[in-house]
Amino acid sequence: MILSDETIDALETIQSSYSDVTFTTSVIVAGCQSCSNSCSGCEGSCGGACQNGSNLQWD
Amino acid sequence: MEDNSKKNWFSPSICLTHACNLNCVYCYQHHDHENRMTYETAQKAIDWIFNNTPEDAEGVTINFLGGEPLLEFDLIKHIYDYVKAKKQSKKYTFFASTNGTVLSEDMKSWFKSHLNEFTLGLSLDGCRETHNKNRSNSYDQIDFDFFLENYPNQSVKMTLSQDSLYTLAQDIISIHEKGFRNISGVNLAEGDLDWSNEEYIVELSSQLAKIEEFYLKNPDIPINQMLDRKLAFCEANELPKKWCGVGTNAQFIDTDGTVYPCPFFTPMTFSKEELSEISCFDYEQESNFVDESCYKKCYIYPVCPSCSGTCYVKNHSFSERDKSRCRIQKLITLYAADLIAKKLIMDSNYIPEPFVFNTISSIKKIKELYIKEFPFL
Repeated sequence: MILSDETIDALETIQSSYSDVTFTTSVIVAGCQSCSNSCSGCEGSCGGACQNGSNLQWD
Repeated sequence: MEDNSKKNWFSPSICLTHACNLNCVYCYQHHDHENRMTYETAQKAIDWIFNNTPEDAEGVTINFLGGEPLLEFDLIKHIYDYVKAKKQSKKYTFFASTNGTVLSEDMKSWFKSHLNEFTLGLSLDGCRETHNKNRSNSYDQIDFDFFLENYPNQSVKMTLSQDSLYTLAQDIISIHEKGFRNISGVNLAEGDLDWSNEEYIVELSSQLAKIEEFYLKNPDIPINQMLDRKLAFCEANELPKKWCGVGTNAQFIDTDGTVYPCPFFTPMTFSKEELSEISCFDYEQESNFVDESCYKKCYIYPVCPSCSGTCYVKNHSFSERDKSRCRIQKLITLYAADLIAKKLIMDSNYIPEPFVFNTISSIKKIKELYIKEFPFL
């Protein structure tokens, strides 16, 4: 089962040690060099110039 | 070798040829085997690139595309020499996407001697049977060791076809077990899968479960980009924006020197009339690329991948997203949330400290919003 109650409980325990931080997606950087060969319907396989939200690394 | 994390790099592409030696089942291009770029046009293309590189760009990645770009290896070498001779003020690197089947020993030797400036990216769909079915029986023509030894961090490009959905997990695992650490995502758009068919959704769920299990058992292998979603973005508070480089950062220069907005919009895919209409579009205006209905209504909008090109094909609009994919994106996001949750429980440093709180908030919200839509989970 995905996202079980046990998993959520464990996450909440972890979360209690952290605080909410306001940020924007400018904190990310493009992921890889292969963007231009795969922007064609990449659905997540893009990178480089193509700053798709699913394909980025934390800065 | 340049760091793969490139912020603000100009990333145009040069199409060296419309020819390709393969005929992949999902290919959307119409190949004209006589259509090749001349050296004179290539020189002009390079000049255009460096004359149009944004001032704030840290460098330029020149991407060689096709067809199969390595069919034009001699031209690649001439272009390389031309760029070197020009002594550009910007940093630059070269990249070529390849099917890996036409590399001669001479070519391998040249690429090995230019590893600091030139990267090759391989298209690979999985195990031998899947790859051969999708990509013209080409698996055994690829020198995998060459790619693994020389480009160990370069991700492979994987595309899903209707046939390979049923072996998706096996194929992803096969690629990793072959030694490729990074898979740059799984292209879910180029195939003819009708995602309104619930059978495909249920099958995708089964495959995602196996993929998740693999990544949890192999924590040192980077999660492929289909599942590695930056879920904290869902909690970010900002205005919608254009995500991709279409028309502004990912231009595509065709064999005749014509500049198109990105590699998706070419005569290999669109008619002259459509390309004319597309060329008049304002690519600087970010709001032209925002689907307001998604932005206002959908919690996972910030992590939902979308290609402006595929939007245009589906809806004749750069902004209106293909809603037939909403259900698979919700399903993938649910699995991504579960995987990231379990990785966080195993190691709370898995997410950088400033984003842990919001990542967990988003995981809880994703469960609350979407899990009831999938009664088979």
